[in-house]
Amino acid sequence: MGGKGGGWTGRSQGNGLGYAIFIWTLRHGGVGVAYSLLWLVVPFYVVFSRRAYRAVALYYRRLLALQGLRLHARVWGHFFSFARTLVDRVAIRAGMENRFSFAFSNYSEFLAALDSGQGLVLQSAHVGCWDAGAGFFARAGAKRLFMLQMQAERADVQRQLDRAYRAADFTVLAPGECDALERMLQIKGILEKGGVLALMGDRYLPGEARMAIPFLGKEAHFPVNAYHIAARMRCPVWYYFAVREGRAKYRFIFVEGPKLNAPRDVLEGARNYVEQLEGVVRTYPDQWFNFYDFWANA
Amino acid sequence: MEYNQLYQECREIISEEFEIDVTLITEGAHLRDRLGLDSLDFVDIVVLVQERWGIALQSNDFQGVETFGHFCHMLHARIEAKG
Repeated sequence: MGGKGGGWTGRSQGNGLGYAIFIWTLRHGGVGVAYSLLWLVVPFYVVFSRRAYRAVALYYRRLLALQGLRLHARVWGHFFSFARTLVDRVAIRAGMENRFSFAFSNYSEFLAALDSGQGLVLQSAHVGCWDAGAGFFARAGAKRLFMLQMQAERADVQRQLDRAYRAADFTVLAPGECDALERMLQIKGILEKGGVLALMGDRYLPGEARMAIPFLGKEAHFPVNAYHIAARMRCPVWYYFAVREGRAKYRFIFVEGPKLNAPRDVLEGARNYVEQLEGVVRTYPDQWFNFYDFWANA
Repeated sequence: MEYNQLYQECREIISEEFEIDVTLITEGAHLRDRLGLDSLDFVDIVVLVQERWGIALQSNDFQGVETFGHFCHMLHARIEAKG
C-alpha cells in the first residue's frame, strides 16, 4: 500500500515470497492462523509507512476529532483492519468463501436492475472488501461484470495472487492498456450490450475528470467519468459497498443512485454518491482504505 | 450529402452540445487543444453521430483526426460509404 512522491500507487508492500508464505498459511492453517500472523506483520507497516500513518491520523482527526493516545490507537487499529480485510480478500478469492457468512442490503432490488437487461454503472469505493461480493452478483446477474481498476501489484506478488485465486467472475479493464478514447468507446459498448461497469468512485486516475465535493467536512476531489457515461447512455447508477461486520462476516450494501439524463446531472450524481459514501464511512470508520491525504489539492 | 452541408450541421451540433462559441469552430480548429474536447466528449460525439446519421464510429475512425476539418472529412467519407 505504499505511495511514491505525492501520489498513491495502490501497490502492496511486501514481495512474492512473503505473499507465498501468507497464502500457504491461509490454505493450511485457515483464516484464524493468518489473522494471528498479522501481529508480526502489521507493526512493521505501521512503523515504516509514515506517510500512510499520517494520512490515517488526518482522517481520524477529521472524522472523529481524535487526538493523543486515542488517535494513535485508532490508527493502529485501522492498519489491523486493513490487514484483516486483505486476508479475507485473498481467502474469498481463493475459493474459501464457505468459511464466511454474508448479509445483503437492498439485494433483490439490485438483482432486479441487473435482470432488466440494461447496462448498469456500479460505483464502489475503497471501503471494506469490494471483491468479496463480486462473485455473487456477477453470477446472479448472468451477465458480464467489468471492473475498471489499476493493476498496481508487483509482478511477483501478482503471480502469487493469480496462482491462488480461482478464475475471476469479472474482467479487469486496466487503465493504460489502450488510449482514453478507445477505453471510453469500449465502456460504451459494454453498457450497450447490457454489461455492468464497476469502478471505484473515491479515487481518480491520472488525467481523469474530477470534481471537488464536500466529504467529511472538507472538499475533496472525486472522479466523475462514471456519471458522464451514465448520463449519456441513460444507464442506472448503483452504489455498492462490501463491509466487514465482525469475524468472517460481510454485508453487501446496494443503493440506487439518482437517474442521470444529461451532462448537467453529473454534479448531482457525484454529490449523491459522496453522501452515501460518507454515511457508510461514518458507520464503518475503520474500513475506509485510502492511505494518502485525501483532501490535498482540493 | 454535400460536404458543406455536413460541415455546417456539425458546427451547430458541436457548438450547441458543448457550449462552444461557433466562431471558434473552424476547419483548422484543433479538437482537443482549441475546442477543449476530451475523451468523454468524443463518446458524446460518437453517440450523437449514431443518433443522427446511424453510423457507429469506432476509436480507429479517429486515428489522425486532430482538427474539426479532419473530423468532418472522416464523417463525410463514412456517410458516403454508407450510401
